[in-house]
Amino acid sequence: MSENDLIWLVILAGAGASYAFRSLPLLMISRLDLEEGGSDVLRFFDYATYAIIGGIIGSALIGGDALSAAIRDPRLAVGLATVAATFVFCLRYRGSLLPLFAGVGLYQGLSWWVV
Amino acid sequence: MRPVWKDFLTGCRDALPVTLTFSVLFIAVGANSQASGLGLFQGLALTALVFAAPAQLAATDLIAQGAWLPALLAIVVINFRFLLMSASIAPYLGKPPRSALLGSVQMISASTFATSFIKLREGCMTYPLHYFLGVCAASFPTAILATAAGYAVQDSIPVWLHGSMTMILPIYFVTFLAKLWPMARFLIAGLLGLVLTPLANSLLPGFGLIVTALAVATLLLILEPKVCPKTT
Repeated sequence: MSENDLIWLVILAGAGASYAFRSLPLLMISRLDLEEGGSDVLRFFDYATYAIIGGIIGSALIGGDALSAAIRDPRLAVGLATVAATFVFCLRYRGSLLPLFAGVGLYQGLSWWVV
Repeated sequence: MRPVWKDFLTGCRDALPVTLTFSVLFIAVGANSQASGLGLFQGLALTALVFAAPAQLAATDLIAQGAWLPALLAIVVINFRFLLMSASIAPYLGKPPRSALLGSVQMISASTFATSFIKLREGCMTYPLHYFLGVCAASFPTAILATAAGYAVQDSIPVWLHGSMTMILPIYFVTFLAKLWPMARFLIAGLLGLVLTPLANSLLPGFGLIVTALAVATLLLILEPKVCPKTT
């Protein structure tokens, strides 16, 4: 099998697995009437969703395979300061666009200054 | 009765920050795909079929080393989180025909999921699936185009921009947490996720996100009546 074929194999097998992960729970849960008797289930998924959102932020700030090195990296302090400032900025202005631009600008500025 | 297209267009409009985020993120994905030896169509297929920047970046790095099986495992492990995202958004999409669901699930990514979930949870959409499709209609083609652009600009991305490319996603996701204010119990879930996921990732590489989310959700649901009075 050529290298090109192997790349396609990885892409297609990865696509199949990804599609299964995306579709199976949706197909099963969308048929359930959770509003009626499943409020605990709904709240469980609410909590899980916000933990995922927080987790994506945390994973981006600290790489998983080098935790101790990442903690000593000044870029972590810059990232945390940016995240905190964006949160406060978003509380003041709501919306997503302005805080997004402000956050990226702040990160760029702090990176030049600190790192 | 609110027309269908209005919810679809609201989704497109709400996806504007996602399109900006994807424009930056998937340029990095495209550039990385080219640097790893993938052809343009392979890079585009990876974006269209896997549609998850972290999984794509990890897989293309491994493909460059000729590590085919680890590349596939990276996609499988990183995209495992879609099980939970898909389960979370399912109750809010209404009860559309199965074929409509099967056709749209491919466009679930962390960003399209979070954008749609926050809005659909408010219950203000008459046609929730159309709202979700609106978010995806703006986001998915952006990811494909940005991947192609990444091939074109691969060598000309300035080094100083690399940091912002990795930070744009967390900055965007902070805006979701800010929208939860002052619902303390959900903010606590987000904060716990932020702190615990990197720790869990160092112990269970690739599974940190889903393990933390499940643990945090279970813990907060158990503690709910005692320390987290219902706010909604």
